[in-house]
Amino acid sequence: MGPAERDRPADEPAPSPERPPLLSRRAWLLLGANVLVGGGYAAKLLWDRHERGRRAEVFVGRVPSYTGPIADTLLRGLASLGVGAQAVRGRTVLLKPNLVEPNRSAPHVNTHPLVVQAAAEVFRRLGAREVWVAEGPGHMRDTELVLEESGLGPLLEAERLPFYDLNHEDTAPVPNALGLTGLSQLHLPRVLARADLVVSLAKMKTHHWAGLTLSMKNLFGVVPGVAYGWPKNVLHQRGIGSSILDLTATVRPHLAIVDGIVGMEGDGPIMGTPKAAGLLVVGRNPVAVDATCARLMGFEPRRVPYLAAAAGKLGPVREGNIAQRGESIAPLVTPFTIVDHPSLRHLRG
Amino acid sequence: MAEAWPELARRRLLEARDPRGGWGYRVGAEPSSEPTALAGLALLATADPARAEDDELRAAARAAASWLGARQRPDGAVSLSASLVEPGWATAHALLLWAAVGDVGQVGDAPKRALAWLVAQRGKTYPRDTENPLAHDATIPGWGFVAETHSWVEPTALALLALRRHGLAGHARAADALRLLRDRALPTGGWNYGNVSVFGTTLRAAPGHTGQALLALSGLEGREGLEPDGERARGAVVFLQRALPEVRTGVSVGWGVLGLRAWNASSASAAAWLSAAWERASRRPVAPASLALLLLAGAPRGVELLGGRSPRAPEASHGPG
Repeated sequence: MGPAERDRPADEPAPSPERPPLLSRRAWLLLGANVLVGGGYAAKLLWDRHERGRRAEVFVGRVPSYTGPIADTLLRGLASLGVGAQAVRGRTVLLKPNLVEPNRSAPHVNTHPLVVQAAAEVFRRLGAREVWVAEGPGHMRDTELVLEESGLGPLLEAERLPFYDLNHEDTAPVPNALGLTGLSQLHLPRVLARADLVVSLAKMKTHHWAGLTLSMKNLFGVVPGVAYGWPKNVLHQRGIGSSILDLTATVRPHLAIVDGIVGMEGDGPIMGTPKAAGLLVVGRNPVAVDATCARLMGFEPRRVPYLAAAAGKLGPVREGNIAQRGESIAPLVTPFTIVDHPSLRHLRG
Repeated sequence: MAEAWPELARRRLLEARDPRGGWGYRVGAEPSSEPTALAGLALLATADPARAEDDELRAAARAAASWLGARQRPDGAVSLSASLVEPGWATAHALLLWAAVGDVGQVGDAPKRALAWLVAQRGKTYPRDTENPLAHDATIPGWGFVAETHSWVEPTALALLALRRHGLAGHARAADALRLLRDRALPTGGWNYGNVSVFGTTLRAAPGHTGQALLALSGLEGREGLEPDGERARGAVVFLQRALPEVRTGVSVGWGVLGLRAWNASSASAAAWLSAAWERASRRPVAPASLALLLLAGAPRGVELLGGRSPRAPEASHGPG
């Protein structure tokens, strides 16, 4: 995509998620047998064609610590985006946190369990039929260990939240919506298609290969290790940026929530240091959410290659095209440090 | 008298077999080669040759071996499942079960073709680059999970174990595996998935991968032309002995104890770790691969059936219970 396309003005409003996706018979026929296996994807793609507006709303909330009002802030954020009971009632919600590695001494590696708990509580309060949690850790075969050590496992048990190990779930091939990786289809866990609402529940972190890891990069975790290996090496070989874009376009999460209460700076995504930013960022368009997070972290989003490539195609990146809800960005900018290496210097200009 | 946990675990594993044959990663999931091979190995490892009642276990293991034979592709690789045909990384697991079952006639020349495929696989390598922030030697061709990807600890360790079980410990590819595993050992002790350090920071070890690498390197010390692994093993053993008392998950405890046992570094505590992991597993939905690893780690023949240790280095007695 050329710069001219990326700079095209926003002209498509994001539809309300209260309008459920409808799939025409013609669309079914066009999408073919592979999609019939995972029919939910087809529904999402059709819905998202309209959702993929170049304007989006993003909510920024302040939560100083994990003992703060996380659920209330999320609820307020969703309300400000027009996501209420009407959008959630009777639906199955899949929360996809970022759980990379088990490490009790470094809780800032993973989406904090209390954010997962709060998100589940919010969707239950809004009438969700079921709330599931699902993740396929990138480095570990032992997903149970990641759950235990991250503190999320005991919480899931206490809250009776079903967990799906996306590394080992049954898969179905679905067409790759963009194909930038050269992969014509992606084998994705069937459980994704069974959920009505997919929520990328990411962590605000720097990333020593991709620059930043937020709601879009978080989607690496939906890719099953049994098919793509650990550490999801096929995606790295095909290009991290291209993979992020393909996954964002194909999975099309309905909501993105980023845990920036305590993020990670420096040598992220696993060896960096904690960075208290005191933020929760929520939106329906992951590109807009990630662009907003980048600004809050002190980065110009267009310097992040995958965000620049997504701009205007998968969502808005320009500040003028993102309607801010909740707090203003400028007073909350907390510059995150990055690894000092030639491969990352473009991020700082 | 209450049954010992291995009896209960074994029964649970048998009951978790899929009606289509084989085992899935969970009950109701599509049967897959890795859990099927591990389940077959676990049933064999816990079967008493003198007990006729254990014929059921041996029959189930043979059925698992046949099921894996049916997953073999024309090129010799064993597919992960009926629907995931491409990744061939579980070929090593199938080879381990076929070696354990021993009745080659049952699967014909499947092991021979699988071995040919396995030795031909080479993880993607990269030339040395002083600018590269990765510290490991990316020129060593081990095994990746998926064709045309880089080499990692788990598929390389499992490939080495499979080669050893089939009498190919002296093969040039086994030497590649040794080089890779030695190169990927963390200076702080143990292994992770296969990255030693990035941007100058040493990464963290993981119990499961540490156990796999220890198992694969066991019994090779002192072999002609092979560098001794004593120092690496000591660091890994220290890591496992520190980590495992806090771990209760079957995959990590199972591989971890297998690694310790392969180096005669297990202790009475290992039995308690296995028992605690079973206790946790018994309260959860069955995860066949995890259960099988616990059984293998607790069974006297577990290390041997997985290809670990030289027959010349008999193991000290430290079974479960």
